[in-house]
Amino acid sequence: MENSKLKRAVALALSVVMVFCLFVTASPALYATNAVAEEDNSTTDEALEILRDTKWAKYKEKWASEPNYKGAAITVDSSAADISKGGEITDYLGRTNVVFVSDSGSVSWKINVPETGLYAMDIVYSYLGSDDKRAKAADIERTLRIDDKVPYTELRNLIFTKKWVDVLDNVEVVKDAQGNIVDIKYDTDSADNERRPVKVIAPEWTDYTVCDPTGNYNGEFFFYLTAGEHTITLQSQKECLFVDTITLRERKTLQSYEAYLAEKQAQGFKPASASSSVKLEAEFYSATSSSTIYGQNDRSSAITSPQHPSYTWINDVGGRNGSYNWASIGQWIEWEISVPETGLYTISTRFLQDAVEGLFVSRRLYINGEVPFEEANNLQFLFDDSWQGGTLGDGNYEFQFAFEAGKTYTFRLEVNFGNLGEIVAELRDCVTRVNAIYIKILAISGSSPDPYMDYTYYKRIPDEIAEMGQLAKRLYAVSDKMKEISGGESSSSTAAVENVARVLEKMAADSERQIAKNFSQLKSYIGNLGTWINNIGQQALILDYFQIQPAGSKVPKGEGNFFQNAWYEIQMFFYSFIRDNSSFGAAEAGEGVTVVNVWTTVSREYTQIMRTIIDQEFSALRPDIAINLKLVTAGTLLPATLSGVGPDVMMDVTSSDCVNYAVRGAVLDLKGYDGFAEVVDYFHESAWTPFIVSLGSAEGEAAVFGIPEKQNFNVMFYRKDIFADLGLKVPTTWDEFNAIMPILVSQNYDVGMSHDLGIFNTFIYQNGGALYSDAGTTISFDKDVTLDAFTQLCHFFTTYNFPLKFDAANRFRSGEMPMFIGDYITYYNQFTVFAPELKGLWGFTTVPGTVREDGSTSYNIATTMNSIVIMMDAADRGTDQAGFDFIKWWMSADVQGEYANELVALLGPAGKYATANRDAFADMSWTANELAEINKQIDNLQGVPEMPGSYIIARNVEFAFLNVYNNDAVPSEALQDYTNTVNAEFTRKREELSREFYVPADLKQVLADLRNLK
Amino acid sequence: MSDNAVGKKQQAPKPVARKEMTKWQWTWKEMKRNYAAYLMCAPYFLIFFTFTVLPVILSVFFSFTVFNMIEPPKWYGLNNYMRLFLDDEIFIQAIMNTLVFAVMTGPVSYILSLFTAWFINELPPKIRAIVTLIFYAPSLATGMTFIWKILFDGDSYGYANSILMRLDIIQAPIQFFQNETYVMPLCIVVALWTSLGVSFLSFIGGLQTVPKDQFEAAAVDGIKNRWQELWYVTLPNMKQQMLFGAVMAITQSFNFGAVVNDLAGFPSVNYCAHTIMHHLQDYGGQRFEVGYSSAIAVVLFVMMIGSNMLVNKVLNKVGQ
Repeated sequence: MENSKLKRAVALALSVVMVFCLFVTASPALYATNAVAEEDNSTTDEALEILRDTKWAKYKEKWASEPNYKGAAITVDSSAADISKGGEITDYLGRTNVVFVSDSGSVSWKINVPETGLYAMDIVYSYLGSDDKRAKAADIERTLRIDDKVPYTELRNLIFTKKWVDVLDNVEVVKDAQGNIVDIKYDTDSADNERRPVKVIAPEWTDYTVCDPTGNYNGEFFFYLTAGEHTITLQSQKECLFVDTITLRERKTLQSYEAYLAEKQAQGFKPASASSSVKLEAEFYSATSSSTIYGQNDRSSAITSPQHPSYTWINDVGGRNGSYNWASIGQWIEWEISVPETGLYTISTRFLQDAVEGLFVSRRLYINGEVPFEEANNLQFLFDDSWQGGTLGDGNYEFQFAFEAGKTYTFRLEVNFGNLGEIVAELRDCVTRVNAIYIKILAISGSSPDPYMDYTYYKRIPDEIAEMGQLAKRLYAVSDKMKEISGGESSSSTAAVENVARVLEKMAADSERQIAKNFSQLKSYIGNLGTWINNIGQQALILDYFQIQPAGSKVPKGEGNFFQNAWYEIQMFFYSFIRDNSSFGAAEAGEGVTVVNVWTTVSREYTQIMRTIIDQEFSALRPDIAINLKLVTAGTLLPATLSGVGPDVMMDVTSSDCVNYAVRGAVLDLKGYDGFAEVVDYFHESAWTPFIVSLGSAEGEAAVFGIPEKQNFNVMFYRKDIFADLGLKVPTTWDEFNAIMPILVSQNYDVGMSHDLGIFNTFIYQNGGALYSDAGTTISFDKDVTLDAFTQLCHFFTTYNFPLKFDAANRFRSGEMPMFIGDYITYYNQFTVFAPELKGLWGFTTVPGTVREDGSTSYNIATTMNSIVIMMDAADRGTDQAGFDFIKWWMSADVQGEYANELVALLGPAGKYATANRDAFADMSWTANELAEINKQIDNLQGVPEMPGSYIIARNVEFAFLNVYNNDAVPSEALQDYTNTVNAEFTRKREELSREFYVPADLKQVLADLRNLK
Repeated sequence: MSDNAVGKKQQAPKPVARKEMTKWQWTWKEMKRNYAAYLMCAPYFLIFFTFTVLPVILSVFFSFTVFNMIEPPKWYGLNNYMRLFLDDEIFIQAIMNTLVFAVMTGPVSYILSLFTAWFINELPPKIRAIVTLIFYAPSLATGMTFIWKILFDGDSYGYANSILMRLDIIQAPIQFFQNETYVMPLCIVVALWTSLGVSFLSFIGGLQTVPKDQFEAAAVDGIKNRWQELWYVTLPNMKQQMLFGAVMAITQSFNFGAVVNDLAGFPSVNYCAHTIMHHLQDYGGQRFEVGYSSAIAVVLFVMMIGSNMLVNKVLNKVGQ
């Protein structure tokens, strides 16, 4: 017995080795056939191009010795522009004949270069104001090409910021004799908390010097141009842009601080007298670069000015650790000051920097639009858990600036990397290279190489092995530099770098033994390093106020003394008895005011944002309705409804819950309410499917039980670089998908797909079937279409061994899984934040379609919905119409767009929100390309009806699937086995419940009728 | 004393004999006499009644109705029970599974706890404290089942799968918690691991309360070995702890649902680890059929009471 087991194991091991040998010999042959598959594919081509791009550091090194151009600037305007690929010539903001480009398309300018040399480039641009619908909250993004090539990779995403200002028309602004803002009497809400003003875009003509948008390098970029005609192209990525002129000019270098000071002193500037100091609250900024940078409330310190122990007063600007406000590279805030006396001043500030531990965060200072001297690129704010006071400086000097009395100066602080920039750039480059090598190794030996196997790496990837050695050296050098900056100390940051270096060193030294052994470790170390690079990219900082004062004056205090703190805490304690700041409640009901109780189950941050938007907009719009917002846990609704203390409006109700409540008479039919007809077109047709049922029969009267709130669906994510490398086309149909599968499998790549009901439905609907038959009374498990769809689904898991469980984000990032199908918003968010090193190297597209018999291709995919419902109790309380008005307002495009953008502001790029409102999508900061893909997918969304008892479907499909997966059952039989179980449950539910729900025979007709409701 | 005073004032009523009163009258009289005791009981009784007795009564009532928690209940007679026993295959499977779990986590873990406690009790005090902690820890940290989840994760990076794949024993990861072959055995192992809980602790306590002199007396009386010592001296002295442990073990074994949910998801594949508890949860929570789930609850209640009575009987035999 024991003996036979051993034999079996040996046999198994031998056969595994044989199969493996087969793979190894087969792979070159596969490569050969791939070449044929190479076709025009712009998306993967672009990835290849990105991979081949030169970096600025290289470009600089290569051309720096060329002569600088000296002479008059060369300026071109719209007359030299080629607008054949999108764009128009128009008048804007007082200038005539400027070029307008929308968020797609590109415009080129012809420019004659007089002599060969190095040039700097200025672009004068403007943008749409908030009153234009096309203007969104995102920065403008463009790719700059010269003679149709991107000279270096940084130019792919040039950022043009917009100017956002607070609307202070209706509030009192108190100014001092010089015109500095002393106080702003902000609006207050019902609880006497200050409300921040609305922000709008204030378009103006801006002079932009092309420089590094990633913040790694200080100073302007240069371009090496030969004499003769060149074209400069701006290709749209995000947002609309007006361009007036493009100028090539002589390069400028910044003077040093010492030179600046000497120059000013020579001009007669002397240190100002002690009495001439000016205090400016940081929250009284004049402009910001983003709608999401605004005055906030800090309660942590007793001496933040102004401070109140209970009321929420706007008293600072910026963000704490983890915040994305004024933390991402390129974001800026601008203040205006004027001083009472001409002279030299320092700028001191009270600030909180709790984001970058062990290091500093950086800001770049502009005065009147210019960086005054080299060192102003690198203002440092050191780390501390509590508030600090300090004077703007770079660590060596406390800077003095020359200000003249009677003049208004704008000074701007822009987020950048300062001294850390080049380190971050080098690290990013290293990580990209290590990842590329990782994928090469992966293709040879799979994700868990056997340490005792001979993979002959030295023969197959000799160059990569050599590069590993170099990368290790580069990483050690970076780590040394980091230690130098932080004063010779090792930290968790340097450890993250050295770990990768050490593993690479080992691998390079003894490739055959160490690569296989340390492969998985390498993966986790790169992951750590990537995360660290991510974190350092967020340079959060809060400012309380500035003190513009002569050098040597007292700097602001960081924290209050013992008595101040104690008194503050005591007051807070006693206020807590009389004021409730934690509720999201609204104004007390007054005369003629309807109070609507709205419950939500999202997180606290989300609720706070909702509360703010409701306070600012809905209460102004509908003073007769007071919204009482409450955050509850998901299970609360049922018992609360049972005991009659439930809400009027419930948000975040899943489609199955919605129908479950509806069929028991707990939620209202919404179609009769005033204004319903307008709501119909807020959403794609598919969003309505689960919430509209026919009563009595399939042709019976339609009832609508929920308003769509969130809509989730799948898209297909893929790694452009890997597809380009393999010469594969991204599949658009399942046939193509199947065709590339053997190639991916032979290269040790995995493909990810879930086997849930959503994917199953996708196959059913693409094949022209439906989940339910007989108007929703039976399941279609006995129909051929459904059985074929199920067979198709199982096929991927049984034939190609798709993994049943996997960490998609990790495997996608490491390249093990270059393609997978998943929820668009969840994974989009994850990859943007989780894998910034992959920027531009991955994309998503529609889920493959099925070619039907008539030759057409169906791209239908199933979608899942969340809804907002009005509970039956609201009808008794008479709050139903008010509740509906609230829902209608909340789900409108503007409000949803604002909500989505606020979430991004709060949670960062990972905060994208799956609103069901189609138009609000477009308001989020997608690139034109992404938006096109999403819209293409939305057009093909297929809603799945929801019937009482539908919970039984998912679990039985899962059982059938596992039966196939685990026990090799025949898919169609496995599924058919459950037909009776599901149908029996449906029948029982219909007998139990008094209301009869059916799937409407013609949803389009139903929607058309609803649109015409009066 | 107050009785006497009242008696005098009312001019000596005819003395009433117990025989002349009905049972209720007698009870009422006794209650009036001991009103202070009842008063002191009242707070606890009210709470106990409202939150424990009343729900049981209500659930018995609802088990004869159709009730979906939103609309008022409708009388349904014995139909719920008929369906439960005659037309619900999954319920029969759930009973089987529950009994398997009950046997494994009840008697098996009970005996296991007892012997572990007995062995540990022999150790020197300091080491005993540490070992006790080690054995008790799993049930102390309730959420610890996730360790098993990681260990037997279906991903190829799960520990078990990863090791098996590295050794080339398997080619594709096994879905331990989604494969009928593995779910039950794994759940039982985890159940045993977590069940060395309260009863184990009470045994340790019980073992230490056994008076030393009884061992000496027993030795004089002719105890031959440690087994006899355990059976005739130690265990009879620990009856109270053993009863407590048994009740705990039974309650736990019937309530053994959460661990399965954590490990195998809900419902487990093809209901292979479905217990009565899960069935109840399924109908009450997901299908909004409170009437039917009440019927399930009543059945579970009866089973628990039955097994408690059984345990009492068995424990009375200890040491005889």
